[in-house]
Amino acid sequence: MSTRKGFFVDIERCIKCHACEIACRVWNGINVPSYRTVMEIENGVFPRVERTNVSIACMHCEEPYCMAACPTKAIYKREDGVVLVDKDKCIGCRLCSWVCPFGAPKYGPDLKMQKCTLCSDRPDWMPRACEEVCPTGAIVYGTVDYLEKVAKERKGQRLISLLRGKKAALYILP
Amino acid sequence: METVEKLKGSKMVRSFCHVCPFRCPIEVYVKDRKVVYTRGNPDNPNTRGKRCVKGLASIWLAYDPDRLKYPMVRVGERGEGKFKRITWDEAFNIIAEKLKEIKEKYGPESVVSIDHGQGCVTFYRSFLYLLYGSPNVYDHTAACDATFDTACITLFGTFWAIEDYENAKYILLWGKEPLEAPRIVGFLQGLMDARDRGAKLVVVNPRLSKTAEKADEWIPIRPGTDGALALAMAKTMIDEDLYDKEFVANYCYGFDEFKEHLNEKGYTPEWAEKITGVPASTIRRIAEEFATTKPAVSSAYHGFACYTNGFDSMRAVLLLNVLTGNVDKPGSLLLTGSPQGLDPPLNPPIKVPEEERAKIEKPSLREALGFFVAPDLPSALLPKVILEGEPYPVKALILSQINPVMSDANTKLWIEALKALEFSVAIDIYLSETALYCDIVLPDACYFERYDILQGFNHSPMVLYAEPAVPPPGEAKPIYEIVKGIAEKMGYGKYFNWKSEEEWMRNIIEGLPFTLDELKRKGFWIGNPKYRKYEDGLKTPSGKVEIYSMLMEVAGHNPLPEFKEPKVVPDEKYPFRLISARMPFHANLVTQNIPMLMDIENENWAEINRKDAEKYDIKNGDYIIIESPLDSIKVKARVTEGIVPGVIAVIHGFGFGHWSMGNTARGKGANVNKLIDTYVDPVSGAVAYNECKVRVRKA
Repeated sequence: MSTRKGFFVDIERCIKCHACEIACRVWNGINVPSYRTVMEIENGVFPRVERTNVSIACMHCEEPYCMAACPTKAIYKREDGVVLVDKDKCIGCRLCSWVCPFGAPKYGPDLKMQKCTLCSDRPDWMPRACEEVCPTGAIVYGTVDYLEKVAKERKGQRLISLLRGKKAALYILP
Repeated sequence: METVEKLKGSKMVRSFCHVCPFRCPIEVYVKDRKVVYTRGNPDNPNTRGKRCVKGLASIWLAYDPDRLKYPMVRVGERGEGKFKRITWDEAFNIIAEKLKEIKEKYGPESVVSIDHGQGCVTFYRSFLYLLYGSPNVYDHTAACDATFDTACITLFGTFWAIEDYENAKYILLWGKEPLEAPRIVGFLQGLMDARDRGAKLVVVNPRLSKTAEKADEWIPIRPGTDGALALAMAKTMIDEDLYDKEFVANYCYGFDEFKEHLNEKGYTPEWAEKITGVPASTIRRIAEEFATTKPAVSSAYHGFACYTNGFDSMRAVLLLNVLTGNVDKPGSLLLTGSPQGLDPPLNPPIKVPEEERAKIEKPSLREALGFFVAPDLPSALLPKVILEGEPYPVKALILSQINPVMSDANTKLWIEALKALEFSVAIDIYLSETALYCDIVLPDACYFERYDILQGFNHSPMVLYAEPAVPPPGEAKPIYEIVKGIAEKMGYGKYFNWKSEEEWMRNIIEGLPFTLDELKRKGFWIGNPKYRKYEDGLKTPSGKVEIYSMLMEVAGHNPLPEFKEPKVVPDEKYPFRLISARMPFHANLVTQNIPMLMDIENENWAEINRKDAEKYDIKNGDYIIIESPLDSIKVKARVTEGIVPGVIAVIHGFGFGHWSMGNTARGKGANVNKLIDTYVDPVSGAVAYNECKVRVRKA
């Protein structure tokens, strides 16, 4: 059993209301950038138009590019799989944000990088800030095994990061 | 919560959100006199522990340095923005003197108050109505739910209805946007769960809204013609014998007249196709699907009713539920009792014995203007009343957290009217655009800073409780203390001499089946839901669901719904119809000073179809000038395939373009209301925001 944790984002449910972004900021400090980004993609021609919304945060990858790229080894992977930034070591060079396929690390007002900590300061019984607020229940947090189960139920797929096939801990509906 | 490091040593306070009037019950965690964390009340079905983005970000209200902090009196010209700080005592004296003087000179009815339905307004509503004697005490309904309320009143004799998304198998929404204008967050999950279980969602809207994005079928319609589509669907159901004969025969009044009326008018799908742009085959199919899938719900709200034909369209859309028997059963359109499901309703917070009450001599302005069925004042007509003194003079306005200069149509006219008043008071948390034109500005408390009891929006009767989490900024006071101060100066002090807030809160819930302590413990009280209320008789004149409305007949309107084109039709000179729409992360015009929300989008935008944009060489992100016969605005264009050609939708049309409020809000985006002339629905009095034609060009 893997202890690695991550998010499942159900794009069938995401409405791009940005509540996850704001919840992240309210919990982590309203002066920091949100660790989540919400986007929409439009396809088709009137009247057959489709829009897809998706909320993206750090995937806490198995082998994170950001960690590999960090020149001062400020980015590290905790035993439970959570990828974190050691602010003492970070020099704010932003290399991590360039190599991350998801644009997850953000440059903060303290001139250091910041990123999703999987709400490490919340106990396990408490939902993550973004998950807690999502009004449509699009965001689910849990162990990779649990997410595999949720993904199967909701006909979701694991998102494989493109370059080297390193598994990212996010699941998304097709 | 004690195990959460960040919340250690914090205290939990029960409250309910009042960023929008839908009041979601919440838990507020306070530490060192600061709000550190909030969440929806986990036990309440309206929130299920969640909050919407607007509510969540409104934590900023408790910190905002731009909030009003002191009472002020105007020293410059109206609108100039020059005010002088005064004491509360001075403010109370001025208001009391002026109110006395105006009552003597013109009568008490010349004082009109409008509020935003926020907590504690019952205080000054009771003060003005019971003691001062003005019948003109109003909410913001005309800019919001007036058409929906009026349709419910005439059809069902109830003030409100609620869609049971969770248990529905077919959901048909017309300009009702639970996903684009999230209000009661619990209902969003209900809708999503229903979709997961295979319920079909069909959205009729000229725009591919956030709700339409999730729909199984989006029906783009020519704006303002929904009534024609609904009536053609009704005719199809009747012609194809798909309606619920048992329900119609036992619980409805006037079905035969309606059937005949549809035939007489020739409301066929082919007729509707020409008007709406929706193919007749689609109209037939949707009608058949809706009538044969049970339970189903068809509902609409403000957006689609912003036309002079809004009321009849609303009635027609709700009638689809009636014809198919989808009324007050699980999964259908649920009726709520007297205001918002509570029977008996809450009491006024102050007790004034019958014989000590002021006599109301003149009819209310609403009635005097001929809006007998409407639930509230047609606010858009107020400027004309003020300026012309007809049907009777209005000399003073008391405005509480309401900003008609920006939120009502015809900005210029409103400003003119405010300038013509003898006296005006604004009670608000910001120096709003309307407050700029007022004589006295009083700093209000926000929802984190006061006690309150209000009804919740649910099918089951629900009462909500709030207590202050933090003190108000500066000298700001909650409404109950403000009204108390004014009342004391006018000699009504004895009705306001409570020793603690608990006293008036007990008055409010007197006669209801719970105690204040029980209410405090959970933060809310909820009663049992009651279905099929039509079996016991409804509060309509006939006691039945009135397809043929006697109330409308008495009020001199058509008792049966008919289709009329909107008054304003685009022409060669102004080829586009302008509509206003929402973004999910702002609550009309009250959240623009919240930096977190402005970080998402710091100005509003106009949506235009790609084909139209190409004609005018407009590219995505270009600034465009939108001109109506009245005025013009400059706004960013968003070119999309998701809108009917010939329509321009300004998103959050009347929330942006603030020129007062606070530093974050000021100067961002554009307000469409100055483009819109004064039109109201003749029955409900709702502001017809979409009665506007415009032309565009690249800026």
